[in-house]
Amino acid sequence: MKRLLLLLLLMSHIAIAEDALNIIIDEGVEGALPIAVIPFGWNQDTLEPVDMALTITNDLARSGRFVPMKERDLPQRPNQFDQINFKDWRLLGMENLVIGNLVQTGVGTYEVEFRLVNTFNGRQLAGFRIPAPITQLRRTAHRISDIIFEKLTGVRGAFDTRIAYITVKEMGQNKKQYNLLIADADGFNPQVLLSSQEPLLSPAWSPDGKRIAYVSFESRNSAIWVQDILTGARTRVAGNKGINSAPAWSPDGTRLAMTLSKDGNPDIYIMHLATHTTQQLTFNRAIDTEPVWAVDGSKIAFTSDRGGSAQIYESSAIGGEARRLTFEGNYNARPRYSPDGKAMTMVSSRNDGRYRIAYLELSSGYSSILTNTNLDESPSFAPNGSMIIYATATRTGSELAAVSADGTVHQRLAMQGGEVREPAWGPFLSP
Amino acid sequence: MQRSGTSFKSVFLSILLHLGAAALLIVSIDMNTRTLRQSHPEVVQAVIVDSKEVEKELQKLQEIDKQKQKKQEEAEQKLKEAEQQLAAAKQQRKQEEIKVTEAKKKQELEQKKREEEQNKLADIKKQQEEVKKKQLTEEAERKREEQDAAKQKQLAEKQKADAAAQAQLDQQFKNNFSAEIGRRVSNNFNISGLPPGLKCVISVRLIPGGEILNVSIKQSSGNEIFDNRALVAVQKTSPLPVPLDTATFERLGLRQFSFTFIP
Repeated sequence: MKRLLLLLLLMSHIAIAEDALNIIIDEGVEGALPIAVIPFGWNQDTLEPVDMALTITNDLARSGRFVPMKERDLPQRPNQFDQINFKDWRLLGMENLVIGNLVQTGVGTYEVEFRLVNTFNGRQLAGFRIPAPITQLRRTAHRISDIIFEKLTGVRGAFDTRIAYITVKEMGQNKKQYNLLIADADGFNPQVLLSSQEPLLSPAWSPDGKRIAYVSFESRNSAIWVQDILTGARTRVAGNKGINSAPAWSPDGTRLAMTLSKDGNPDIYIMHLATHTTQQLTFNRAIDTEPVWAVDGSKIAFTSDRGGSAQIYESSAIGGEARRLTFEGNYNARPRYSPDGKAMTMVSSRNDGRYRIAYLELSSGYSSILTNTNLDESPSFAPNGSMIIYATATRTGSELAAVSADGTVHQRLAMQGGEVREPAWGPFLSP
Repeated sequence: MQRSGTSFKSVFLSILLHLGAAALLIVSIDMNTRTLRQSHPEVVQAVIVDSKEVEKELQKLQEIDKQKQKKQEEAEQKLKEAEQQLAAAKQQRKQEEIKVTEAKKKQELEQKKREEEQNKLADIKKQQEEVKKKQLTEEAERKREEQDAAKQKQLAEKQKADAAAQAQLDQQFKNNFSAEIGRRVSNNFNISGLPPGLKCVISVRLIPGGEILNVSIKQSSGNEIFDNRALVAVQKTSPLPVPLDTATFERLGLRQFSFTFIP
């Protein structure tokens, strides 16, 4: 009897062993990844020149892909690997930990050392020691953010990039000052490239990030200029009669698409920068404007009111019939392709008087509104496609804001007051 | 001629013999051998006398002899008859005896036969009884065995049923725990930004109570981030919701199992 029982037990055991339990996880959750960035160690008594941890924390938070732990919630503040009490972090469900040190190595020279650690397996996912002068400390922090971002999301980080934008300042006596600026992607380190008493519009980065094209009214009429960022050298490339607006670089950087009305009607033209010769792309009697090149350079999208309202169309970069892309709402304008070419961001209005940032999936034609504001303009993708920067109207003017490409995280960028317009997100700084 | 001197003796003897024979007949004694002996005449020396005389004498003698002979013959005849009678009687008796014997024999034979038959019958009966007894015993044995087997079977079936019920219960348990574990792990599995179409298998070892002892990648997706997210999803769920009863925990084989991440 016992033997039989044993056999039965054995058999049941075998049955279980053969049918080893395997739990299928066929779904997960979409959400920001938890991360704790511990304040970096600092080897001097003086105030540290840059709060590395805070800079990294803000970068990661702004991306929408991370929820950094609040500083006051940190259970411990280790600066060295062997100081980490892994159990504490695990109990908090905090899988990612960033620790580091800022060390002054000489007059104005520093060394930043950091580690990204998985608290559940105790493994170091990344660890670097980066020497940097004082002027490069913030940028070093962004580079660390990029490394963390890429290690944990698989997507290249775009924190160590820059944005270009226009500010407008009231100068009194009905005078205004227009500035073209570039800044770090988080809005820090703004640098003025150009100031003018006449309007400056539509800054556009060259693909290599070395030049910016823009529209200036300094000669009372609109003209398109291209300026070298480093040297400040600038060239007027289009100053035709009528409208000269909305410059857009071809992916290879040899051409500019633009809106010209030199032949009577605003149409899309393509200019070869080497020769300044133009070639008309659209011939419609309606207004065609705000062109943008597809990532592979084969197509050009633009805004046109040829259908009665402003909508987005796409045509081959060598001309031909244009295809309408947007059908939702009474207004869709200012298109920008996502870096992977699969989506588009634009300003959209759904018959409600509000102009908001929308995200259009090109394969399905389905679009979604990302923002909850009233008057947005000039959306622009980060080079990794994770975020969209745009300008939004405030009571006193307008400011820059960013939204994650999935619309979950909204952030206003710290800028000086007044009016901030037409942000353009620059390319990756290094290849 | 030689007998003349002894004729008297012979007659006497003859009578005696006859008497004896009669006696024999009367008493009817069973005799297996005949004791009667033939009498031999004595030898006499002859003296020659006057021939006439002799002749007369001779004639006389002859006459006497003839008479004697006749008498003897008669006696002999009588004896013979008696003998014959005796023999017949004897024969008859013998026949009767034979008859009796035969009858007896027959009877005995029959008796024997009967007895044999009876014996045989008894044997058969005995045999039959033995067979029957044996059958009965066997039957009983068989019945007992059947009962035992039935009991055994019943027990086995009960055990089987119990085991099946337990297995079913276990399966249900397993399903419930799997579902709950799966739900919790899924909730900790962050798939944001992960490329589609990836799959990894993670092996996990538990101690009773659900605390994770060890997790390892059994089959990598080829994407380090995907694998890490899956690992963290499992580790974050520790302790896994397993039966608190250690025996059940062991029976369900929860000490070691795997997760397949295929979002």
